[in-house]
Amino acid sequence: MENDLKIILFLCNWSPHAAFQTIQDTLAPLPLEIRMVRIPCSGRITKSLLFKAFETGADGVALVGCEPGTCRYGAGTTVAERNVEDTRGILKLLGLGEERLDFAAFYPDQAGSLLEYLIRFRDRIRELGKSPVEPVHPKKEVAEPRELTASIMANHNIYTCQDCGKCSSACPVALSGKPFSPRGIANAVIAGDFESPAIQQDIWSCLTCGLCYERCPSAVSFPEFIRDMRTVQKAAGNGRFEAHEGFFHSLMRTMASQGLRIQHWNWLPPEIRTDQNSKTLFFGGCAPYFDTFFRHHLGIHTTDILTDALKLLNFFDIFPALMEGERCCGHDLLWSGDRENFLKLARLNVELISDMGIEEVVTACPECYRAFVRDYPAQGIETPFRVTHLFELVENEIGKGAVGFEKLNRKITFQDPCRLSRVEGGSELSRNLLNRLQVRAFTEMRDRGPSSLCCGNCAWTGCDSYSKAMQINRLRQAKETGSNLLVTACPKCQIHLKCAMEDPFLGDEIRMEMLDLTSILARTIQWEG
Amino acid sequence: MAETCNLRGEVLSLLHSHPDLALDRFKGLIERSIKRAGLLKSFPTPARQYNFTTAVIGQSEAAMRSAQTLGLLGMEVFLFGGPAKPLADQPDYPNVHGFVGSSAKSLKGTVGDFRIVVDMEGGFQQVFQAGAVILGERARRTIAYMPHPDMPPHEFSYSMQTRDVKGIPFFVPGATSIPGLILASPPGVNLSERIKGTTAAILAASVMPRGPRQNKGYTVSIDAGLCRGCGRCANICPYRAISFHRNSLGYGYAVVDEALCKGCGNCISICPSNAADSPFRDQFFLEQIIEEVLA
Repeated sequence: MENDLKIILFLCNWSPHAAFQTIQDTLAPLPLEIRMVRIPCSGRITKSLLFKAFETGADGVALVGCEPGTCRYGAGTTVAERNVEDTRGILKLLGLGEERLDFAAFYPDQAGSLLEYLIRFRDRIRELGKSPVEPVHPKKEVAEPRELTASIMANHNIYTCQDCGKCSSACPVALSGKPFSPRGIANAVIAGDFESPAIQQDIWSCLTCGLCYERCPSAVSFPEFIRDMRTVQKAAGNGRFEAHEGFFHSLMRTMASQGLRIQHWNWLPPEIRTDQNSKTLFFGGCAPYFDTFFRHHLGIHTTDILTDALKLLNFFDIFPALMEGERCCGHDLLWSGDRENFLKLARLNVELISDMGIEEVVTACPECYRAFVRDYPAQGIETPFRVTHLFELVENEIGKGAVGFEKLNRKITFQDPCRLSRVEGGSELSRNLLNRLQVRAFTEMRDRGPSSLCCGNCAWTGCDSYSKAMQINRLRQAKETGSNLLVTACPKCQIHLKCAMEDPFLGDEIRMEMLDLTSILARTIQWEG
Repeated sequence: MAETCNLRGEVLSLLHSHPDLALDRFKGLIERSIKRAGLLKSFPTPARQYNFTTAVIGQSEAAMRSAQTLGLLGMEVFLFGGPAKPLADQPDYPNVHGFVGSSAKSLKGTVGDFRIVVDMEGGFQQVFQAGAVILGERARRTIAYMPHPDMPPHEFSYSMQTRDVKGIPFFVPGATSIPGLILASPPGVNLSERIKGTTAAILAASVMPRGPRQNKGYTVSIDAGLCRGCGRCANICPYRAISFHRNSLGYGYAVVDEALCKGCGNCISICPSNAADSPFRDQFFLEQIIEEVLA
């Protein structure tokens, strides 16, 4: 091969394919770097496939379809343009260069223009050079799965299960109607069944929300058992249970590439004050990626949580440092069985943070918080800095006095994020702040605090009709309180519950405005006295 | 199913200029095709209900002409008045059953299986089944196409594709984006009402299947266990191949009619929970192609 650039051309079967065949048949000089994948319609290619190409080592990707108004199926051009726009946004955040992905459209007789376009595209990729993404090739597990499983069971006290069933009677997955039982799984694995399809599937259905651990009299650490079982399954090549066709897993694995020039914060409003020499770092989390990915469907604004968190810090005269090369904390990779890439991300983050001389990391994301405080040390990654949840910091600052809150004419209820409410003191932390707010009413849902129900998904896995049922149940609980604002404290809760509200049958019955607690704090806090 | 690869385009075009590369690509294509051929499945035959009656709604010259033409061809025709104007007379055409005083209000379904809700003369409502529906111009503007009774009416495309106007699928003049739903007098076509009416009749006669429908091998299927009932796919499918049903938990799930699905896959790329996928050219298949091509 005379050059090693790799360009994927997703080519619609209709107009442009006719043009492409003319190029081939006339022996026109088609750039050799371009490898064509024929598809039924440009609207068929998901964001995850567009991105997958980059994860797998493509330097450029062109999605080529039909001119607007000539799509055989009507919708294709619009869908393709949206998917490309969203994925380009992701490439931009990653610092990969959004020009590496392009959409173009041609008529069947435009072989000449198509060829010119492909040559131009190749030249542009040449200018951009090789992609800094290091393709990940999954390794096959070396250890014997049976031995490994036995040690995982021992590590997480599965053998101490008393078969009382308190876990299954509290489990939100089981209560959603799904044939799923933590007790049943414990029984099955103790009896030696790790490999039956039912058990394999169950391992990916668990939310790892931790409600069972709250209830378990023998402290069987079921969520962590599930997490480690996923690692075994993943290594054996089982478990394609990722939601969004694995887009977010692809994204996280890609972020583990060291050479990326990530631009995590380039969207930040100018009024936010930061100080790169500060010893305090604000760790934002993946909200910018979420907003970009879901832009056309959910229209969520989880980056507002980050902006408002920074506004809160600024309010207290804290001007934190930001890390432009911030990567995903890796929480979701670890909890979906990819320990190897989790460790890569964790090491990169800790290294970058340490290099900045940071003494304290503040975050508003429950998953980042949990990852730093619990998962990093437990997986052998030392964190030479203190980690504080934003709510802790705010509570401390408020304790110093002279701070109050403006009136907010809303009735609110609160959705606990599992990763915050089930760490020690986490549930009270949110409630202390909620009780300080000057709202019309704060009414708790039936299931609350450490007994709270999960928003329906964790680590982008196991999304299905039962998780929807669980979410509908949860939203009905929220409605029952008579509140008109559902307060959450995790971007994922917002994403998942908003998705459940998209329902042509139920419509207004479960629709409810949502806002993060961080945003309410930032928008109503004021000096007093 | 069959597995194909384009050796002429992918390999022969390189044979003179880059013989080594041509050999490389030849090997790659053949190896991948053989590997995939091992995974091929037989075509399932989708079970589907078919009705061969055509319903004509409206009493314009074109609509009456459609009814007459179909009747003369020996096909059974039901003739109804439109939503605003009940049917005045029973015309004297063979095989045409006019329901005097009837007024069609709404319809749902697709080719072979339409259901038309009709207000009858006696003040009661009746639901008729038909395989194809021809709408007069006034009926086209006033009748509601209601695929799901609990949801608002669905807009369907009837104008032809225009450069730079997105969202209209390809179909022949007089047809609409709903298979089997035909216009007696499509707007923007400069022909006499009688010719348009005759054309619509011929279209209706020709959309009727002549044998059992076959799965085409590239259609989409929806995993009911994964479907979250958000309704995005049903909205994006121009062919109404996706119908929506209520599950036991009180919300919806989608089902694809394989006889109507054209395999474009737009529903796959907007599905939030991986429920929609092609069983033959699925996500995993495309991921593997990417991996093999980039290897």
